[in-house]
Amino acid sequence: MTPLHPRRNLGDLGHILLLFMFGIIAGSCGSNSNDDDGKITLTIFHWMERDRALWEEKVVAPFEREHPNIDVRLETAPYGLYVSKVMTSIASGARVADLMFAEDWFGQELIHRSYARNIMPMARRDLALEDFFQDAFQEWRGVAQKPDELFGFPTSVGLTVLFYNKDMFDEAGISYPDTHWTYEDLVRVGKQLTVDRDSNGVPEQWGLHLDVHYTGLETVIYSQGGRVLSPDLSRAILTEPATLDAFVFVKDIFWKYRIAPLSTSIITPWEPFLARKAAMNLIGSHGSMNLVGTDIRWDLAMPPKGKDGRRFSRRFSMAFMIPENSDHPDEAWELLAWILTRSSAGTIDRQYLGMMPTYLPNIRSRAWLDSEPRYDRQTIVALAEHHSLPLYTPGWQEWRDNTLTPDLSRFIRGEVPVEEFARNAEERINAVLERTLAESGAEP
Amino acid sequence: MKRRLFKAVEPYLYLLPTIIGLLLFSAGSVIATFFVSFTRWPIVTAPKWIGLGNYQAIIQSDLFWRVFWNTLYFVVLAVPLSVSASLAAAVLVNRGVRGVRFFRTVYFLPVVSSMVAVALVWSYMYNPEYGMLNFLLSVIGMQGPAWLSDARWAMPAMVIVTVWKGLGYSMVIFLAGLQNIPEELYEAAALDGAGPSRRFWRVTFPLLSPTLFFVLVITLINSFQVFEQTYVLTRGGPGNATLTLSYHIYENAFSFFRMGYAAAVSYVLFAFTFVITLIQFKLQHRWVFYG
Repeated sequence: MTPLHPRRNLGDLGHILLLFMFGIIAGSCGSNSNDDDGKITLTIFHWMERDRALWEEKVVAPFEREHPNIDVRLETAPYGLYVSKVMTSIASGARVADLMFAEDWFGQELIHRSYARNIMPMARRDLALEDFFQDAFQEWRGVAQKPDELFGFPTSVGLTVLFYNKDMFDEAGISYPDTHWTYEDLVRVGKQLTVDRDSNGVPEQWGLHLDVHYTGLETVIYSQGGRVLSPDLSRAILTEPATLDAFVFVKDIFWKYRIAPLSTSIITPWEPFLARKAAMNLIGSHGSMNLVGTDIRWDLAMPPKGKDGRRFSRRFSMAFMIPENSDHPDEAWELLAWILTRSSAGTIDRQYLGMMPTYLPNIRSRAWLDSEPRYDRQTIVALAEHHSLPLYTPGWQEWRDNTLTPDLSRFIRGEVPVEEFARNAEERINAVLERTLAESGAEP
Repeated sequence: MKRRLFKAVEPYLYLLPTIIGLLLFSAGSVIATFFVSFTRWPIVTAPKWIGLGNYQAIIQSDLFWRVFWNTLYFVVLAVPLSVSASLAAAVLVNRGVRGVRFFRTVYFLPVVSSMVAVALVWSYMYNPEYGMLNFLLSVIGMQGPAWLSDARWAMPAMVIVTVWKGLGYSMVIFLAGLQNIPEELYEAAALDGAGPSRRFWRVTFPLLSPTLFFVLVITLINSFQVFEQTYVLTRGGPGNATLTLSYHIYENAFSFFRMGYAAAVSYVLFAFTFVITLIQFKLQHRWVFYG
């Protein structure tokens, strides 16, 4: 038996490791095309990691059975990293996917920069468009709003709704919010449900939580007769008297009526409601997924009626897009059409909890209306059909995060008067909008 | 001959993967970022050369200067606190008292914890209504602030988390430095009548100054790059009060699709950090004692 020589053996091991590393490098530089066996591989990119098994079972497997020439590969990224992952892939010149999911704000950026394919011709050819909630197409047509263009097919829409904790209402002997509620009712009941037991000026229970960063704010502003953007969504308009009054009303919710906590972090807008510290929450309906698994008895109602009895609910939507650089756009469309029309109502509900599917046969089905968790799904449908308000522009994330949210925060904290806040924010939002629109030469 | 040649080349072959990695993912990125900073690049479309356009935009941007001063404010608060707290902790755990190993471990635990998890737990502790901090303050009759949603307190709140999280790392480095100081010097100083305070300033501090210099440089660079705390605790709010340069870069690159502008801000941050570090190195001969 040859005695082991430590140095020689270490050297051999080193050579093996070297070969192994070069192998890895060489392997990673190779092509990963799967089309060699004549089959087409389609990639779906999505952020719903928790529903991966559901997708595999309810979408990928049945589609592949019906289309033996197509393999579907599901790629997911956590929601918080989704946009970064897509952008880094695009920056590297890689093809992100054949079908990619996007929220409306992100969709605007991709459409605006001609990243997505126009799928309207295929949609008109293969789908009965009257079976879909077509209002939501608006967000996916791009700035030019041409009726023969559609750059993402919306699968679901969310609305701003008023969530309420039934136990808190029952304990106070107050009727649940209904369709007759006005903002005066919201303030009145909010005061009744705000409880400061030890009278130290810090209520243990608040009547309301208001999300001023996004969906809640715009819903209140428009309901109060104000507005944030011009009708063609090309400019910010914050300085009109009705809008100024609406901003003052928002501030009053925190300081004058004292029915909502001001201290909620932008990152955890659901915290007070989940901790049973707020009886109502005016926020996007997709947030209902936060309530799954809790023992809170809850339901949702329409946002109150505003001035002149008008009601608005900020709408947001999610869609599938086919990138321009997809190798298989026709097959990708085939898969998308399958997802839109063949996915079961239960599957759709699990995937987009709190949102209304855009495929109308689904929202009329008992399977969707009676899905768990039970809540007033008809309210979502009625809001979408009659009161929904889409607000989107390219650069929306920038002007919201860098301008509207911080400026509003300073106004609500009393650091600047409403006129100054509105004037500055309007000017800065318009600078972002002008720059963003000019970058691509797009005209509204 | 072949064998000798192979022996000469062999070490470099082992180093090659690391060198390739460094060139591709570090040096390559740094150089690429420099060129990107002269372009308008919304990522989805091709970059367009705009010369110094991004740098001009930076100079003219009120928001950039706000972010710059925020970052400076963070550094001015975090660096002295972090360095002095970790030095104090190192001096404490350097004593031969019972249970010292336990305390060393406890102080080091935050270092090996995920910043995201740490920041999340702190965000609950900072909650003004039911957070632990304000509860403790109420026990002694004080009303705590709305830590993360009050513009005056949000930055100090971030600094507290940063100091707490980084304390153990610097403490270990200081501890190594302290344990390298020969015991005889303390004995000699004690024989000469030096008390604890005098021994610290006349023996410990000079001999620890190279370690202190290292910790100072590293803490300063890390503080200029503060990101996770902003991301998890405040997202730059309230009212941009905690928006720091690294988060500003991230937002512009991956949320606002202004990669060129973000690259330019990266270089401004790099230049500023470089100059400050250079000044530190230039001034070190005045107070760093290498024995």
